[in-house]
Amino acid sequence: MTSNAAAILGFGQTKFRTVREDVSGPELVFEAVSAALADSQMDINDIDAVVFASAPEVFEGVYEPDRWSIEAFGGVGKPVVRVHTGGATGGSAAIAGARLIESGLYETVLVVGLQRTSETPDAQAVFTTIFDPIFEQDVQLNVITGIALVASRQMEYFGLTEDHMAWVSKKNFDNALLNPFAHLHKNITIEDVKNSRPLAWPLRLLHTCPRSDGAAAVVMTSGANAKRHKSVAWMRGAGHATDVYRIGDRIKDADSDLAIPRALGWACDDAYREAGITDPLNQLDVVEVYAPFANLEIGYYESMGLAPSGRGIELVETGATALGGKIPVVPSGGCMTANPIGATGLVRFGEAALQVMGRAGDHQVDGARVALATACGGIDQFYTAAVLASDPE
Amino acid sequence: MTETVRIPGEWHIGYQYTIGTFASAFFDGLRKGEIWGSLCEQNGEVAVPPKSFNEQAFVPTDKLVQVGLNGTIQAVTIVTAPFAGSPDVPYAVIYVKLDGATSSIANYMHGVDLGDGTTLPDALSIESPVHAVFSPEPEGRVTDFWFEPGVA
Repeated sequence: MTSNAAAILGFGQTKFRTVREDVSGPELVFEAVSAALADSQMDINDIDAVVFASAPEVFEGVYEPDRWSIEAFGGVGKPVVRVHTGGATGGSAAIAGARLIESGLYETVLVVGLQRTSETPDAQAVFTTIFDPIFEQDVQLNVITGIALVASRQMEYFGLTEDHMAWVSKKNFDNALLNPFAHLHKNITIEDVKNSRPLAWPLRLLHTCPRSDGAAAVVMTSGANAKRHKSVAWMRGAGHATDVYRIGDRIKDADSDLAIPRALGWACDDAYREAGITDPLNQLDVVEVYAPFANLEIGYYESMGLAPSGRGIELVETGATALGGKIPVVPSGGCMTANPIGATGLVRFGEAALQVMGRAGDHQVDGARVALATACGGIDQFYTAAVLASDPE
Repeated sequence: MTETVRIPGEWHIGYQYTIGTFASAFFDGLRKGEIWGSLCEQNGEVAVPPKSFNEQAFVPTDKLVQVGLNGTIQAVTIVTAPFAGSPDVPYAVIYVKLDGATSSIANYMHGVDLGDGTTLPDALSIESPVHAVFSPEPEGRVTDFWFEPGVA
């Protein structure tokens, strides 16, 4: 890692819910930014630039939600950029913020994510519009049907079963009970998952995520400045990678299969190389993966290098990714228990930072010093990976 | 405590999607009961549906080529929860690699009893053979064809 590494000073998030009727979109942003500044012991005047993250504005029904929120993130008089890579937006924005600091352009950067998925009644009607209007929309592809198609290949490729998915759902819902900011706080059983409403074979309601309102913010600063702060998370490595647009172009050969997203693997390769990680299963202490569906999390185990080819399900079978296991995955409960889309990647990043700062509260992984945070966007197009650590090198 | 207000709003925006000559040739083929893809001679890839360039080689596509009407299932789902504008549930959507193609194309699967949609019929398992069937009243949309089980 270079000597000019960026460091995360603090993280703020709103309590995620279906609707926050007491605040407008910008007011939600103000709440998260205020929490992040307080957590960082910083002032809005300490911020040199802002990176704003929001996914499809069709959810808000307000074009350019970044512009709507300028005052709420203290943007007046400062450079502001919006980042948009679908669901990966929050992850891309966090990495963009860190790179702005590492490049020497700015000393301290605020990264903000917002999404209100509740403003329109039909989320899947919005999601249909992210598909190709020529060949895909007429076949009613949306996020749920798209991920169900992925699951069908995972069953074939590595033997994914309903039992594996139910275990992941229960693990994540159990973890969410320890996180006061999670949207869903529900005690569920394996049987509840297996008997939940079928949506699109093989997916059921409890394999999926809720639609959440919420905002999140992270304050990051230069390495030199960070040394004046007691509790920081160092950005040790990062990667972005992108794959082809059409689903059908990712069902070609062994190197390109929907079951195991290769672009997350590429993003992790870059992040690990920069961070000096050669054995992720043993060198990482905790993972905050962006996986809004149970089956995706299991496929990602392999993409993230936690398991050899075709053997990600063994981490389920041995319970390795539970809190207290060898490599806890989403101790916060993750996207399956709160998904404010454009902010979600930043929540993963912020939660990973809290873990290595030892400030994650009841879902703290004991002794966590190195964490991986990821994000995914589109239907398998955009991936980000970031390695955060307690020490600068 | 003030009762909070929510103000109704709507976006009504129409579009005409411009699809270009390659995709237009595909829809013209459907009217004749044919399926066309695009061949990249540099790497041999045959993309279905066709496109005017190959992203792997990053060169323009050399020509349109006709592919077979038989193929195999590559991915499958049975939708049991209706979405806005969706057909009656349950219905099946599959990705199929047609004979001669190197990529897969999505469409509806008809001609299989889906039951309540919670178990996968054998005819829908991955690598099962299917064939394209064409609408007698084409509309210039991808739904001018669909898949049915077995070989044509």
